[in-house]
Amino acid sequence: MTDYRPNNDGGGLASAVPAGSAGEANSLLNIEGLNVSFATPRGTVDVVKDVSLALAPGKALALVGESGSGKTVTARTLVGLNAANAKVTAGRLDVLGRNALKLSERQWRGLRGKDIGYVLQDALVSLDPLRTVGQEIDEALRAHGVRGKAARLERVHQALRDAGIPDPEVRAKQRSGELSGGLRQRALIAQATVLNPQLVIADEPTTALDATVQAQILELLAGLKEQGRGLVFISHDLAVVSHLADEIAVMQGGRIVESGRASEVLSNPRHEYTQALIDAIPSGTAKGRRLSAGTPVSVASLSGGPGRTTEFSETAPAIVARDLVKSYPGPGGTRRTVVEGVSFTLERGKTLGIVGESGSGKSTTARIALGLTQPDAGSVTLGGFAWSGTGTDQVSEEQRRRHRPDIQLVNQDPLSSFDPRFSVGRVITDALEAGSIGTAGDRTERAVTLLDQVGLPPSLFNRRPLTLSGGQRQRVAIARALALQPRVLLLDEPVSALDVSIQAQVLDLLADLQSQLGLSYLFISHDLGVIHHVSDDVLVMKDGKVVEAGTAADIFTNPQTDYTRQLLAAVPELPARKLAVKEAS
Amino acid sequence: MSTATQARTSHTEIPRTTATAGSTGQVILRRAAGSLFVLWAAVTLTFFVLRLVPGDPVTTILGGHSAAPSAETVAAVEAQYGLDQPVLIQYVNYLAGLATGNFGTSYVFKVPVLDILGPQILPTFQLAGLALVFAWAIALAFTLLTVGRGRVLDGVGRGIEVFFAALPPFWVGIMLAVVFAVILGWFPVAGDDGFKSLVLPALALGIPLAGFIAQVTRSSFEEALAQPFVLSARARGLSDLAVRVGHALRHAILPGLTLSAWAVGSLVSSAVVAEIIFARPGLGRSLVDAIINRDLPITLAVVFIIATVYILVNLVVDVLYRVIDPRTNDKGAGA
Repeated sequence: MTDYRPNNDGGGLASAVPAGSAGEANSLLNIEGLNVSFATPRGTVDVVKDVSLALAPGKALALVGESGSGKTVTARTLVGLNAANAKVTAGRLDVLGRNALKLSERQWRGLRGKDIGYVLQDALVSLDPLRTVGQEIDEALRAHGVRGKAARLERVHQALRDAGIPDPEVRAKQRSGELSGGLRQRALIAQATVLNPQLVIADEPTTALDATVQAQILELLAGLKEQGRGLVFISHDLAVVSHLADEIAVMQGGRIVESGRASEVLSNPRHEYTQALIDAIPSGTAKGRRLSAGTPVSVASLSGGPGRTTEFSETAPAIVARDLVKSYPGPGGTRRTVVEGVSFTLERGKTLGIVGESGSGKSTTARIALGLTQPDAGSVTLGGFAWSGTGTDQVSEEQRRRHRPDIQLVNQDPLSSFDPRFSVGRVITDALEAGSIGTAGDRTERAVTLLDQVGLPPSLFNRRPLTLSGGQRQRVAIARALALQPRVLLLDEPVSALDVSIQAQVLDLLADLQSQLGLSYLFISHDLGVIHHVSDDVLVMKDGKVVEAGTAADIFTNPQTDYTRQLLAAVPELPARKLAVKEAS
Repeated sequence: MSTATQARTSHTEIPRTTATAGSTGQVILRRAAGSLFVLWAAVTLTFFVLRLVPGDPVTTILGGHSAAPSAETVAAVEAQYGLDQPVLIQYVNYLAGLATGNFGTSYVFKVPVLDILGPQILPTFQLAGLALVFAWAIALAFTLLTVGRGRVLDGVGRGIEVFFAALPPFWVGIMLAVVFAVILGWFPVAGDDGFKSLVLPALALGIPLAGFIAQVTRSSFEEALAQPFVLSARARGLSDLAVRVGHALRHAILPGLTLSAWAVGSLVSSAVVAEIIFARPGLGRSLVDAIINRDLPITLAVVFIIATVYILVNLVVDVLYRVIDPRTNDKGAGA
């Protein structure tokens, strides 16, 4: 219990009071000293250690922490759905007033879906892709003995309507794969709440959603809370948490390192880990502020040695794109215009952020900038030379090839762009070899230097990408991109798959590399917070068109279009951060 | 459907150029046209390959080498069976006959081919059909009972499947006959006497096939059980069995279904093993006899029937696949 520091000097809150006094009849959760361990062939692994929680109706408790901190295992313990090799012990484990340690599987089944709703993260895989969402919701009703086909259908429609889905009669007949991301997530919530459970548990309910959709889902969850239900939700994003949680429990390494009233924890964090999580939030902070505690990397060591000659201009902008148009054949002989009249300039040594929701055309714009997609109209110059165009400006791939090292790509998911059989070292030496950089003898040394540049120890040289963490993989991807000594990096959602704290480290790394190597970044993201933090200039895209363009300061403080304002309003921000910004100004 | 396609294309932003698919009806039509071509190819190939086999059909017709027929008899027979004409003409005549349902006359039995094969078709289909039912029943039982039920049961299930898949049908047939027919006397040893006589031969064919199907089904079932939607279903209060039957199983049978399409075609031809061991009538037996006796019309007809079955079963599987996995219909629908 040494790490458990109740931060309840705000006083008088039912649920932050450590369990024991919660003899109140209506307490939903009352947990003391919960331990969960897993028996593996290599011994017992303790995943949750000495966790104590309490929750009252109408309140929301957020479990916060990075991947592997034990949040999900804790949540699954509350519905009795841990893996078969899990061993659960607790001083007290009262769920909905019943001793969960003594519940049989049959008794658990009676609670699941009826009294406890459990919402998983990604609705695309969390709803059966072969069945309609109506069937999925109906299944919960049937499992709990609701009779009458017509009556059940009416409840299915009502559940979808309550979850904010228009035309429930139509949507009920569609499969999750046929719905948009937002509707799908709503349907997932509907199937978990159709029987009006008193307790709703949501595991990362908004991760990977566009900002506006995320805001809608948060509103829906807040509505559940207002109906008097208890809500436990998991997130690694404190900004999201601040909008919904009454109580916060910060987890690290299986323990709760800090807990208490949300506003207290966020504005006055006592544990350094909580502070680090708060600092890691990029939204609302301009370029230049460091997000992580790590020391800046130094790249001086790489400047020597035989490099690559380039015709990349020292005076012209890094990329100039003019009036790009791209369309694809659509259904029934029509053409779908994906990019329409997009122009932008990426200045040397600067970052241009492109922000937009799924389907806004930002990825196609990126592919044109990379010279991988031929535009229907318009032109691109890279470092002063013609890079892509149409008609008389057409550039052949052969002409492009010798300039290819000047622009390199870093993807969202680096794992799928590594050959899984290659070691980390091979991934990088291969890139060096492809660019004819260095001699066969000194490529290993160069690769180690590159790893050092991105903050990775040489000991990772012989590891397989699969055995690395998400943050380490992304660093390897950056090292590989840097191997060819590029002038421009195209960063396509480079931190979207990472936890906030890891995201902070990678964003800091990118900032260090830019200032020391003079790199220019074309940075694509759906996350406005990230875009605000990294960008000098910003391009807001919607439906293939540029809605608004300008400096980051202008776009974020003085947006000119409704669409940008709407996007900005949807970004969750810490109340504490707003406060701090006000004080500073 | 259009919303789905739009959502997907706008998300990946890659043009979809696959021009296949369409409604189930269209697919059946297109498949039927393709099937005619396959049938034609199978018949043509067999027709000409069989002409390359050494030996003179006339000798066969006249009862083998010992018959020593006179030149006039040979000429008469050649004229009667059309063998005096060039091979190409014979081929065209054969195709024309096929189009009207005439498979020719057996060289050995001197009667129309269908008179001989007609009574053989149903027993073989019964045998192959029941073998498939047994194979699926065994495979599904293993999958539902052993996958994800702890390391011991998992290992036992996996081991038995490999063992089954490795068994040769003739050995299974003999063992079944010895144990259940000779020693226990539960089933007849041989013959074609209703359902009871069908059980052992069908098991002989079905058990090795069950091993194959179960191996495929097991891995896809394991995969499905690890999916988040299974956790969602359990969180709705479903029992373990309901999740397995209602969710995981549907995902798991898809690859096994594809395997079954292949299996049915080969069951009809490999049925000969069971037919001989259990002394049953059937197409497989007729085929072997016809090949040994160089009875070309019968051989050709059996090839034709097996090819037809193969095509029909593949068509049925294609439609079933779409029923089980409605996503198949969406793919390329917007192309």
